Amino acid sequence: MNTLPLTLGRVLPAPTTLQRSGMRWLVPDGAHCRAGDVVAYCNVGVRGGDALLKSSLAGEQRDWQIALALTVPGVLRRGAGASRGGFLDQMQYYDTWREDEAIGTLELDAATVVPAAAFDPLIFAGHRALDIAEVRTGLFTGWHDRARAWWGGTGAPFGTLACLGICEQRNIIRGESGAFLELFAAVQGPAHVVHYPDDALVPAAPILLDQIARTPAQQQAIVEDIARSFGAGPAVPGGRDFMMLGALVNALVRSPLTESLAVTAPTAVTTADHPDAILLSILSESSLLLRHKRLGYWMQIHGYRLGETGPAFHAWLRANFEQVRRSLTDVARDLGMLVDAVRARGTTQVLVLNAVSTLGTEQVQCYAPFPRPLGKTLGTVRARETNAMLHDLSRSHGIRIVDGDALAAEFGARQHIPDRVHSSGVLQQATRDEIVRILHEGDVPGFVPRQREHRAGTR
Amino acid sequence: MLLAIELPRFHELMTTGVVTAVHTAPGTALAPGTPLIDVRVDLSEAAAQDCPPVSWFRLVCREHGVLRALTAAEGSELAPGARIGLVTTTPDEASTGEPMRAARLTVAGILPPDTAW
Repeated sequence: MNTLPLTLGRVLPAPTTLQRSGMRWLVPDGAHCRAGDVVAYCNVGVRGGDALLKSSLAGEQRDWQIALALTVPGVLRRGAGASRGGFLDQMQYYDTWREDEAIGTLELDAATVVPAAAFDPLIFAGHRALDIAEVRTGLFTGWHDRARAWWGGTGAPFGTLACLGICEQRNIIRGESGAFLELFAAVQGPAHVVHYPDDALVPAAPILLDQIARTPAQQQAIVEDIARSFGAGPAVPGGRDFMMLGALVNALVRSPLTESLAVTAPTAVTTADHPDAILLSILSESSLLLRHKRLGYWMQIHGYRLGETGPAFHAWLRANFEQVRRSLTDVARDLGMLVDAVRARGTTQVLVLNAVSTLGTEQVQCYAPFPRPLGKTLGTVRARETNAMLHDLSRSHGIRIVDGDALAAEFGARQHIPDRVHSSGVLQQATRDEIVRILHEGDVPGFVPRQREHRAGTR
Repeated sequence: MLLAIELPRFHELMTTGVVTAVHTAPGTALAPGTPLIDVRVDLSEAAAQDCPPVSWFRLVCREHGVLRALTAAEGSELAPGARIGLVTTTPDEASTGEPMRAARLTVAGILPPDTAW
């Protein structure tokens, strides 16, 4: 039986060094693990004054983690002292990442060839929505307005996928643990996946277009206007209103689709200037958007989020924004403009997750009783019309449809996506596989599907 | 024949539904296609939840008859199976006693009301 030392390996080009916390194990001592199993992780930070790396990862330094996925199967033996518990395993100040340091051993299966490296490092960088949102409780925990991960053991060229949707997309991309493990298990890499949550701002096409085109002066004008107008009415905002507003301001004055993001590899730190592919959700394109009365910018917040804000927040919205209704034709036009805008910047593939049009509990034998047009009343009809619009957009603009509707029908909507938004793990996995298939078919680097038996995940 | 209108179980896990619109009133002649009520079902009603699983449904009559009673008022919260109305298949028969069976209904998923705040 061969025993493989579980050495950390190199993750950054010399001479940059990393500080790290102790290891937090995700599998018990003596567990038989498969190739791809993420067995441990730690928090890391750049030691010293590497200005380039520090500026590249600005805002992400405090929620930077490296998870270690085994390259081969075997029985894991934890090294003594690799984990020290408490803050020493959570704060990145107490140890140094040494590439030749072994944190344990792996007793290899008889048929396993000894690999060159014990681990594939999966690197996480979370941009905190709020600096005080410190959550060091687990693997890639915290409140992030941008969450990203990449396989850090190989070099460029990375393929970057940017994901902007609502919650129906979130777990497809982030997986059961929220740490992208299932998605990275599905691809060979080097892949780089960025997820922008919709906590504050719903990423509808007009909003993304605004963000792409907005100048620093316009961003400043938005901030100044909000500073003047918020709380100007008789109702006094509460602390939660201010926090919601802060998250909203942060989201408004950034541009997810034009951000430059640093990606690390053992040989170089590179910058992704634009995503190679974008994943959108048609459910982000609501029929009602808000438009600022004076500055003209678009905004949308989920209704259930607004329900949690107080009267001062509502009064501010009413005083400063108008509701604008959008037809499907408007949505198609906006999406088309967005596709043109991102293509002009180098993005090659735009994927759109379509709407589920099957409702397991619906029993409509005859459509005659419902007012015309049916799509203004019946959710399933509206979903079909929306999906048909996407087919038109596919022909005119070359978008790629992720057919969640067909998958829901195949698996059974009543069981796997009962409210047409929140899906089961099985359906999420099928949708994830379909996304990877489309990315690979579209020649997005790093998204070659991996054999199913290799999985990145916790046990 | 006396028929009962009962609130269907729209989801296996639903415990209640809230009536959001009433489209008809007692005394109305019903025909297949007559809309009765709209219902909001929130599977997260027991606890606050991010992105709550909320759905809206419309109940539509599939029988000929006369609506004799409708207890579902806008805003009322009802359990699945709750009797929300009575229908007689002819106008002049009594609406008392035990219904022969449940009225046949169409259940349609409808779009949420268009309100941003």
